[in-house]
Amino acid sequence: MAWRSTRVLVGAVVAAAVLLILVDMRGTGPTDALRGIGGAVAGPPERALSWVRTQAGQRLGGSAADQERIAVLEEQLAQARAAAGAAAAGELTADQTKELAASAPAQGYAAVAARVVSVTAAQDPVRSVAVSAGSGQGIRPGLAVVAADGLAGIVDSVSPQVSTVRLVVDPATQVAARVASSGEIGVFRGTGSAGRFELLDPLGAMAAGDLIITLGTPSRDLPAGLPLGRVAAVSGSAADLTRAAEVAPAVDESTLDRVLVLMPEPRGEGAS
Amino acid sequence: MTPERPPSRGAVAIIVLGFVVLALVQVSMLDFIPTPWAVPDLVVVAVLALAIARGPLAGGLVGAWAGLILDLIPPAAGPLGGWMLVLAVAGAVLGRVAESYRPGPIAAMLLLSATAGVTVLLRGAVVWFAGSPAPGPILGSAVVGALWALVLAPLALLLVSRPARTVENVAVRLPTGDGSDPRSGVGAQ
Repeated sequence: MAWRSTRVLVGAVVAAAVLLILVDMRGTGPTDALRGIGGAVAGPPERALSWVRTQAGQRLGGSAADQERIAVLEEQLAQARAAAGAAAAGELTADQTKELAASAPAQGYAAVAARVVSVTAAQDPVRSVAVSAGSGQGIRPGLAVVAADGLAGIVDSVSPQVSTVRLVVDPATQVAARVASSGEIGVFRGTGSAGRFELLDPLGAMAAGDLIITLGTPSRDLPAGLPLGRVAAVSGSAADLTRAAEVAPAVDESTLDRVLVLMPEPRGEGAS
Repeated sequence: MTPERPPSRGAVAIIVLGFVVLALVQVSMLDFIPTPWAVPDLVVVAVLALAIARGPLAGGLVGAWAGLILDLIPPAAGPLGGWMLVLAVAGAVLGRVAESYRPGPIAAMLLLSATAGVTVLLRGAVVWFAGSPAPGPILGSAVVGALWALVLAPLALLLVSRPARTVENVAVRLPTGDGSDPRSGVGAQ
């Protein structure tokens, strides 16, 4: 008797969970509002706990003054690189830089500085972080989040004080990209721990060591020319239907801390 | 094992609040520990320990609540309801097994550890079902996750066993609660 009512109740919560998953899979809807509420409640304590964590880390790990100086320099570097777009991304030739600068709307972005306040566990296949800036600062889903070395991720959901960022290595990440040296375009996907770049044209030139950069989106939410990573190994030959490459991510997710969220400024204001 | 009594409203509030605190500490602090493959997971271990101490109904319901909290607080970006499903099923099944076989302290620890490993795999399966391609080294994560759970299991089982058996009004006191002395916990069976 008792076991039967247990079955009914547990069956009910399991059914509720499955229903939630199915509603969430259909895309935008009530589940976004639920995440917003969760973020509004959990955001402030996460920021506080994160502050405690960084303070404790500084006490344990060497001189606090040194670490603070490094952090400030890293932030300046990230800001400079975000401002310069692909130009500072790596070993691009002057011509390529010029070409990229022409196609990339790297100028015309406002940057909001933020710090990582929480991350998913290493055993969780979902790779995402929360950062200390939210809809209160104008952040909305779809914006690019950059670290000193390139694109870190894309804003997934927002709440007043914190935003959730899906990292580039997350298996659900999918962005249009290109090989920086040859300009060949394709699709970059996360694999959980690294990335995979698939050429649109299997005959296109691509070799180990090539830099993979973002193609940018028409909405300008994701700028062109942000480094995604470097080709580690190419699989498939020109005779195959598709050619893909393993990509070592430009941004190390395990040490991600200070980031910038890029917000496109309306065109035609103060430009040119 | 004691028959399950419906917990009071205050006890439910304490449990939910306790899991909110555990989840916040987990995502803002413990998840930053730089260990390969897996980090210690407080929420999963707490749910499984409660399931062993209190049976399938408590295990399933507490698992659902704790999972929903994990699904809602940042940086959750997986399918909403994914953790809820995994922890409700794990809590209910482990509670049923523990109720049937009444494991001793060592067996309970091993059971909790193995179930923690299975939850890593279940989580991967749910995320995969919701549309992501198969994740990478999930078996390694399951093994390391199970080992971490084994490390945390003795403390978690001590903390949930005594209050659940003796205190009637405050049905369950959580590991984060103060005032309970873990050293006087076991025995009594």
